[in-house]
Amino acid sequence: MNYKAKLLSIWWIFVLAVSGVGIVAGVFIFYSAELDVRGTEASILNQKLFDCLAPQGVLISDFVKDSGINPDFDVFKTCMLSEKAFNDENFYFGINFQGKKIEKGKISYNQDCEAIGLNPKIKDAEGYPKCVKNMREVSFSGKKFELEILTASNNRGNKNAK
Amino acid sequence: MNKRGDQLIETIMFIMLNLIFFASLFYFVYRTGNSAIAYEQSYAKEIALLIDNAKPGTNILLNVQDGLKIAKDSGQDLSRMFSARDNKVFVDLTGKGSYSSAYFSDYNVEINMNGNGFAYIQVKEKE
Repeated sequence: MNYKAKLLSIWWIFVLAVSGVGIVAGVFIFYSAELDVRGTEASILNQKLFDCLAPQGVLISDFVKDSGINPDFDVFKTCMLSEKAFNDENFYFGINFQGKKIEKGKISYNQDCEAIGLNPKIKDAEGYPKCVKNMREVSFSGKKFELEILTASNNRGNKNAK
Repeated sequence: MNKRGDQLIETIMFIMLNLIFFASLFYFVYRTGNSAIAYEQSYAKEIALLIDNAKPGTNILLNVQDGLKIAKDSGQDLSRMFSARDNKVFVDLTGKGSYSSAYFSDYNVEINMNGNGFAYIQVKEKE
């Protein structure tokens, strides 16, 4: 028996429909995906704080008092950071020096970073920030100290903003 | 004899319909790739990063020609494409709502279009 398959068949239309739906869905998913720059923001904030508090590796005098953090030190004013941006809970930083700490922003990010954000095995976790933690040796009055800064960003942007 | 003719017509129709289908798909992909929302998000986040990474007194020229084309096609007022206030960058390419991205630096920021398809970003110290 000579059998020739028809080119224009229901089967062909079905294959085209499935492949078309697949391509359309894939394109929508791709272009609606969010650009994630939170890791970069956390990194920039971390570097900005180090540059502000210890330019060239030397702690600024305003920051230190009695071998600890000066309680009157205004990190927002000195480092030109916006208090509003941190009150809006998009960002967080924690500065550790000689057992004392300054924390600003969404304080819960500290624990989120330790649990998830800094875990190298977890690439991304919904609702958790991206974190950067650095510890550097700095000097002050001829002595060496360690300064640790943890920064986090969960700034996702906003569509239809006004 | 007629069978050969039928087959030729069927083959031509098959090829034409396939071409129409795939051309439609390619056109859809092209249009979606040029959609305003993708550019609004990209520009907003890029400008916010530039501001945070800059020091006061820095001026930045950012090539936004692709976004400018979308804005012109949408009839958007070019002076309203980019703005910065309340520590957020707003990008609106269509006039139907903007995309915003926050920045953490406490600067005075002005963003203007310079007429050559570039956004001119001025980062100044707050008075």
